[in-house]
Amino acid sequence: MSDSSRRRLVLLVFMQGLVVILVIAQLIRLQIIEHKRLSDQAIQDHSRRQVLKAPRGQIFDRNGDLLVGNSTRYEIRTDPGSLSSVDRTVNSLSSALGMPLGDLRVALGKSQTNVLVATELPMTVGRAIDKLGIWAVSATPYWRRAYPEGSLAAHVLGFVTVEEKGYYGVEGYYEASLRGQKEEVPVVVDVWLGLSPFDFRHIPNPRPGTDLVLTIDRTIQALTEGELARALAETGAQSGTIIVLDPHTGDILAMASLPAFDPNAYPTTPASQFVNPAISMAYEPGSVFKILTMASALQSGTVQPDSVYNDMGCSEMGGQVICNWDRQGHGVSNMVDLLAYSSNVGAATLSTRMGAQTFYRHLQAFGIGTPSGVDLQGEAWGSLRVQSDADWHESDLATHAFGQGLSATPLQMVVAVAAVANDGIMMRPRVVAQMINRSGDNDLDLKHSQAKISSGDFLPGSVEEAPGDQVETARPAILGSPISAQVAHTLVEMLAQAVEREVPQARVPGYRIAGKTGTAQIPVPGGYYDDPWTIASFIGFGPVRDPQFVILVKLDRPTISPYGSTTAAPVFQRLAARLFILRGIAPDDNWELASLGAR
Amino acid sequence: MNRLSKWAMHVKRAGRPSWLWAVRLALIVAMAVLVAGLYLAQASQMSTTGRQLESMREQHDQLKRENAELLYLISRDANIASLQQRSAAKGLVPAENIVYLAVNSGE
Repeated sequence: MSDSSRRRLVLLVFMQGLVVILVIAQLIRLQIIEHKRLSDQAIQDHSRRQVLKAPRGQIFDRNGDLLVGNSTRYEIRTDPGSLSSVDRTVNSLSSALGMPLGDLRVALGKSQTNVLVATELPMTVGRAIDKLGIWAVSATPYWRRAYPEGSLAAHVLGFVTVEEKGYYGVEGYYEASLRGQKEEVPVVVDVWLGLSPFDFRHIPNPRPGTDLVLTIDRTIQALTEGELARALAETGAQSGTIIVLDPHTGDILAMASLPAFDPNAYPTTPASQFVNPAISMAYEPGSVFKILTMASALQSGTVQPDSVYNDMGCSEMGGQVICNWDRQGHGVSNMVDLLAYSSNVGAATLSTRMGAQTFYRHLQAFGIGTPSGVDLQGEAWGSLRVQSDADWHESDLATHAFGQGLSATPLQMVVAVAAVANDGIMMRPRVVAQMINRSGDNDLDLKHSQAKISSGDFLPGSVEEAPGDQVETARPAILGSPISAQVAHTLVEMLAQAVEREVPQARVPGYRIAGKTGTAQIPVPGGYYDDPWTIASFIGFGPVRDPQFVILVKLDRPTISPYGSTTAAPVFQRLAARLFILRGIAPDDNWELASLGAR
Repeated sequence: MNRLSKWAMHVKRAGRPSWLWAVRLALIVAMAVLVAGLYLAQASQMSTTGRQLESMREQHDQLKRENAELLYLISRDANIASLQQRSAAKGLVPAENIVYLAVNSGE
């Protein structure tokens, strides 16, 4: 080998060695010295945080009919600076969205990034735009709460804001359970910003919110709302409330208040209409409260049904003159007369004979002055002054006996009277009967499942379970036993006789009804009453042989008549008659036999 | 003679058959190709599976949305108000004057 060849060989080896050294040095720089910075940058460039939201839990009525569901909406966003052709994009979007070209040009002409072009788009439109595959235009789906029944049971259901937070009713009370899981996961994206196919170690599947099965029956709810609307129209009442409750379980079958609202359109509704008067607005119940006064007197042994008193029409008690609603005296009267004539003097006589301690102890046992514990957001306490309170006056003992000077919510009144209808056992009112925790993959179709909730009892397993689902069935809960079964039976009979004698408007042919009318004045600030306005009400249950429901009808400020007997009682009668048919409750035996015999 | 030339001469003198080197080299290359092929096949398989999974996840999400949407739409079209309207249009009225027949159970 010549010297020149040797020199070239040496030079070649040197150059190759240099290259190898440079490569190694570069590798050391990239892999060791700047490893962290470059690694972080790579992660930043190729990773995104993807937020996946599971849908909110659905709400069904007791028969599996959907009351609250979820609908999918789309929003369209774009990055105008990245559009390859604004004109082409405008034309494509315009035809898909049905938006004027000019509006789109304005939106796409902005110099901002992530410009919102359209929102609240139906699923079909959103999908169509997504399929167009326009670069830098994204169609993103999101969940929107949907109420297929419109305003039906709105006060019970509540509503959900665009921030996906529930307020009022079931939506508010069960917010934590209903809310779907939100999962934020880091994902690696490719150059088209799609998920990298190499990163499938974690497939996110956030858990949807818990489904709820209510005790509400949508048919009964609709009937109730219909009768309430008719009552407002016929009596000129400004507002009203009707509650239908199963006394044996505490299940609220219907709870209607008017004026109501449509949860689908909650942003345009005055905030005052969201409040559920049935649970949140305490009122002076008036004469329907005499049921509790009489129950207390019977339970304490103060009187028997045939005990008598002298009804003079007016009487001074606790330094205040108490008069009957018509100022008429009925002379020597027994306890059924007291209920039939709705005597204030008689009721005040009972509370005075019982004494404050006994009377208030029984009222508290009926839950007056304390929330019932219903699973709805915003329940009020009501108020009950007792003898140990500083602002209690001796005359309160008399006025409280006929439902004045204290307040209770309509639901508290229904729950207390339901104890009379349920052998003296007071049940906790409830709206949710079952909670279904879905595993995430099972879409339970209650409507078309074989099992339906048809009876008053929600037994475990009464709803078809899908694999992985957890069904929690709420058992009816007892609040207490304010009166004995014997006293309850006695009082039911007395109330039935009172209706038969004095409230024909509430009687349903074929069925014995027990109940009581109420006509209450409306207190206003300053210790006065808002004359001549009244709250007219009727609370009753039937059939007496085995009460299937307790109904409270409450009408605020009726114009045709101030009295519960002429305004609220007929509403009760119509509703009860429909419910007997709807629930397949046969007439009383003696009526049935007489009817058949007449044929 | 430098050290490199000496090493080349040493290899020549070793007298080993050249085909043996060729076989060794071929084996090494084949091994490398095999490893690279396996890697590519595995990577390709992963890529395909990943895309399939992502596609199925999207499809799953879409089907869940469609299911919820359909349930809502069915419920909206069969809500109480529309049932009342349709039944009224067919001339149906609320049941009244129900007659209950007593059945003798024989007891």
